[in-house]
Amino acid sequence: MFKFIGLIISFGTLAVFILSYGQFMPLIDGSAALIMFGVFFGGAIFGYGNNIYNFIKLSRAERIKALDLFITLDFYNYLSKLTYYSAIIALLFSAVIFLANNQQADSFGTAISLSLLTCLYGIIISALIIQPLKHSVLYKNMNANEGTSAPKTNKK
Amino acid sequence: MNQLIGLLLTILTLALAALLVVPIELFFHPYALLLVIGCVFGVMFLSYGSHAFAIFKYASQPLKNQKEYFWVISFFDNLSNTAILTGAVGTIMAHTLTLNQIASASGLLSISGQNILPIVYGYALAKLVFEPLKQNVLRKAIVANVNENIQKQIEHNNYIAKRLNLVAISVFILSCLLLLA
Repeated sequence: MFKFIGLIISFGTLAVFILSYGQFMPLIDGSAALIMFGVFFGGAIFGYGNNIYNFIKLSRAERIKALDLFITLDFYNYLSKLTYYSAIIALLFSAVIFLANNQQADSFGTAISLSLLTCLYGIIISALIIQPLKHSVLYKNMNANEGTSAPKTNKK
Repeated sequence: MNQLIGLLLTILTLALAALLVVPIELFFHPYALLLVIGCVFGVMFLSYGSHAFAIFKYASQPLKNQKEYFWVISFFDNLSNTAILTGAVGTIMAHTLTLNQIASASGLLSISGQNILPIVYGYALAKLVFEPLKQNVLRKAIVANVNENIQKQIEHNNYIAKRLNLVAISVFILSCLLLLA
């Protein structure tokens, strides 16, 4: 229930912020979405293949082993990294568009919107979806008030 | 009590500096403030559910084991990163939404000044509230020989957020320069 409230608060405040400017269409761009989601889903499948389903199952479990916990956290870190990589790729694409068509002022808008919106989608996915999922798994398995599979201390 | 005095002192100093330089209205953007605070609390509930506020008690009591150390430090890192990144989201959104309405280069400069405010709020919240709380936790922690995997994961908490933030700021500055050119 609290998680649902959290989701509504996060995306509700985003919606209020957008509505304060009276328009939302400039925030929708097909090519930026294509780069973002293409790199994200392609990279996830290329990196983890069928194991994605296993990590989702591990994330939903009440308790997981210490080793599995670190691997699951690495999975979410990798997904976050993919959003960063897609933002960088879009920035480089924009540079190519701008440099190749530097005589045409119309291409500036395409180049700017491509890099700005891919970066925007990447941050929203990383900060408002992937990181909360990761920290939720971390909290479930590290909550000191309940019995957990905590890793052992290094003895040197 | 000392911490509250420190926080008030910092906020008052910043407010005074802003007052001396320009009219205070220039630094006030209610929707940006709502965005940053709303998203930070939203993500806090989304990640930690009903236990979200209970974790703040660790700001005043020492951590005694690795489990507590791991998730309490990660908790403050998560809030800090969320504040900065939602600020970046606000800045990029405002910039994109106002680009259509700009008629001249001078219009771009004045609107861009207002558009930077969300990231300023996010950065201030992260570095003036969550970072000192995290430092407090680190200072009081009684944990020896923290596991290497835990250290690696804690470093990873900030790695991606820092880079995403850097890309967002670079893209914003580059787009302003491109439009001015």
